[in-house]
Amino acid sequence: MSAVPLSLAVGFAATLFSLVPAVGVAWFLERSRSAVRGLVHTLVMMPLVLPPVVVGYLLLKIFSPRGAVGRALVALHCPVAFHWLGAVVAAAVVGFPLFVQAVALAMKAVDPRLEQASRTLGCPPVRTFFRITLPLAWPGILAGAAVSFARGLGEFGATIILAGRIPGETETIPLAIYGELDAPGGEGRIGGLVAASVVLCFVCVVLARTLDRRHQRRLELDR
Amino acid sequence: MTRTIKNVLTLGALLLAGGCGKAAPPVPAAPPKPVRVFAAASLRELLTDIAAESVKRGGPTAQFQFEASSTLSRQIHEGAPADVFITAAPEWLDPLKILERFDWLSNRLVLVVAKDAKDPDLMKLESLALGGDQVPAGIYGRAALAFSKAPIPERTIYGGNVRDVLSKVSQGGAQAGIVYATDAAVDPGVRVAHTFPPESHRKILYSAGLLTKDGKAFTDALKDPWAKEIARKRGFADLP
Repeated sequence: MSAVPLSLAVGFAATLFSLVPAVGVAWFLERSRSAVRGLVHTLVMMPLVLPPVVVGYLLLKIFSPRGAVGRALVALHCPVAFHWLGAVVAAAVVGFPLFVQAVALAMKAVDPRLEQASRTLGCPPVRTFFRITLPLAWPGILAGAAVSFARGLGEFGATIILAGRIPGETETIPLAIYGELDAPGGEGRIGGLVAASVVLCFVCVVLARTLDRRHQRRLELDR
Repeated sequence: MTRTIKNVLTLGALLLAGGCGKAAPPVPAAPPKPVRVFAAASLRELLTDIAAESVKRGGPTAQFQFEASSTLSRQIHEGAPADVFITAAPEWLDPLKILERFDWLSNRLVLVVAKDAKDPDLMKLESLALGGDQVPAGIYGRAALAFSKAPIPERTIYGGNVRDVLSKVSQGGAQAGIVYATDAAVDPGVRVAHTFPPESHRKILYSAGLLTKDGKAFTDALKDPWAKEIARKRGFADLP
């Protein structure tokens, strides 16, 4: 697969993998009164501020085929380090804080009185979540998905360490650009990749913004 | 919220003050300017040794940047400040303005595997770590494979420089990798499974280029017999 479709595939897979955990963590952060909330928030936000190279190094320490976890994954025929899944994991991890942030904002905007009403009418918390919170926060969740997808498209530092540059398997747009930098006459190919990158990210940001605004408006109408 | 912002600002101010507070050390009378040396990744240990010995002999200190010769050549071409450039393939000196150049050392090309791995079949490698298209070790490696009529495996992981290739093998990213003999010698995580015959690729030549006259003392030291002796001990081949 060439770099552009590969990047899209990696981005989609990473976003899909993150969806359920991101919604779960965001819900916990927004609605729970647990003592570990602050700690969870800090941990979840770490990949946003840690140098991606550090994230990649830590992930490699976890998934390296020389370690126990990596060996087990190889035995299960789903190796992560230096494979396609590695690029997905790297993209998912660095995109995760943005995803959680967007979902948490969307949930914050949901009027808690609606949830309280549901609870007082005898609806259990999990059902309240699926019947009230989730449907109301849905556009915000999609906006978060778009942002995390865009971040995943651009992942470089963690990917080059965890997955390496394997053309057709882990060589996403940024890695392909990196590979072409030295090549005489690589300018033309770099131009194409840069253009693809700019267009894709532009679309993602516009999409996220549109979803977000629609969401805000809808919640205001509800009130 | 306002309080958080205030806290952040205070923290920032403190950090700034701390940074500025550490007064710059008094400027020595004649600050010895380190020679800025850009060198092929495979020369890391050798040049570090030579620089240490050179300082002991009263030479200038050196500040190194080790990367693929192709990357360094491009960086210098685009204005990166360097006094000396030592490349693992002479052609990467060609695009640059050079005051003086000479061929310095040679090396051998080898196939390495993880230290506990079995000998691989060169014709049927499962996966390979190889230098990128422009990285000298990658260029020599591709030529050596073509000479042996061995295919480049579909799963090939491309390293940004030869040490990157080496670490991919020791990290378990590929079954084998093509690096220089001297690289294999510095990594206890790998062993040499095969040495490519010298006629299988263009002769590996480390060429040194003097970019500014500030680097002259350093390039002169490279030619000294003691420097060549350190190189021999590290496994580099002297040129006839």
